[in-house]
Amino acid sequence: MTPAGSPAVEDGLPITESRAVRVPVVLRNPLGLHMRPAAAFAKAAGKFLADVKVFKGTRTANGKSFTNLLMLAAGPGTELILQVDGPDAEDAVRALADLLGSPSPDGVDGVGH
Amino acid sequence: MKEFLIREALVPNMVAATKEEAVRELVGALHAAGYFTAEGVPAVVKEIMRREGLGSTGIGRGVAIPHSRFDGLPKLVGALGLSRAGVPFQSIDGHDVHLIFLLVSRPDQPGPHLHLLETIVRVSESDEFLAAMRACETQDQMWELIQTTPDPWAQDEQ
Repeated sequence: MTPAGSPAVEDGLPITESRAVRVPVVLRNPLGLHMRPAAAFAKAAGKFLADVKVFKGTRTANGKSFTNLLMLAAGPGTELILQVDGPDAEDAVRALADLLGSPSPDGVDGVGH
Repeated sequence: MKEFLIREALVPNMVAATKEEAVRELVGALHAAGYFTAEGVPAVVKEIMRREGLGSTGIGRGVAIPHSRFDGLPKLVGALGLSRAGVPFQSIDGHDVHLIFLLVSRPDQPGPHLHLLETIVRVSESDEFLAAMRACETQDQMWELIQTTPDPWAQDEQ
């Protein structure tokens, strides 16, 4: 029973509301999502609180695991879906979409070396 | 995997004790199998070590995938070495590596490289595969295991 005057909380849902953001991204690395860009992405994703998932068709990878990302075997020009869910999702999706859309092996700022 | 790993470059008992020795040993095995000229070997070793300097290719679970790209190969080629003692590789999980897949790919063919990385990561998640490979004592046993291990991506995309 909710005491009068306190904010209502939906049954079973966490107090932090879900802020899932999904964006399509075309992979711009000319060699695809190989080891270094995958490692750079996982490292960048790991800095956010939000859950990060990357979809290639029916396959899904945990964006914080570089070996998981390698299992997508995503070649250059692949259309991926980036899904980010958490309190810092908006910042995360911006930074991570930039990384996937960057042609440089290690992303825009050279992370992952 | 069976398309790219070279039978004559399967090394069941590596002698290397360091990462650089391991890379030399496996590039040497590819050379012995006919893939590089003697003059080309140091350049390949140097390029693989330069790539390691950008971040270890030790993916954890005792597996590493040192690699580079090299002009003039007919196709992507790979060697696989087993180290009984383990080789320090600065892996992400901090453990020494026992299976070293060394790949040299063509710069103009990213697809096979990506598929082979995927395959190696997938088989490395299998305790059964890792145990079976580490139990191999001869090149023939290694080759047999590789022949009977399905390429997961091939099944997936059929």
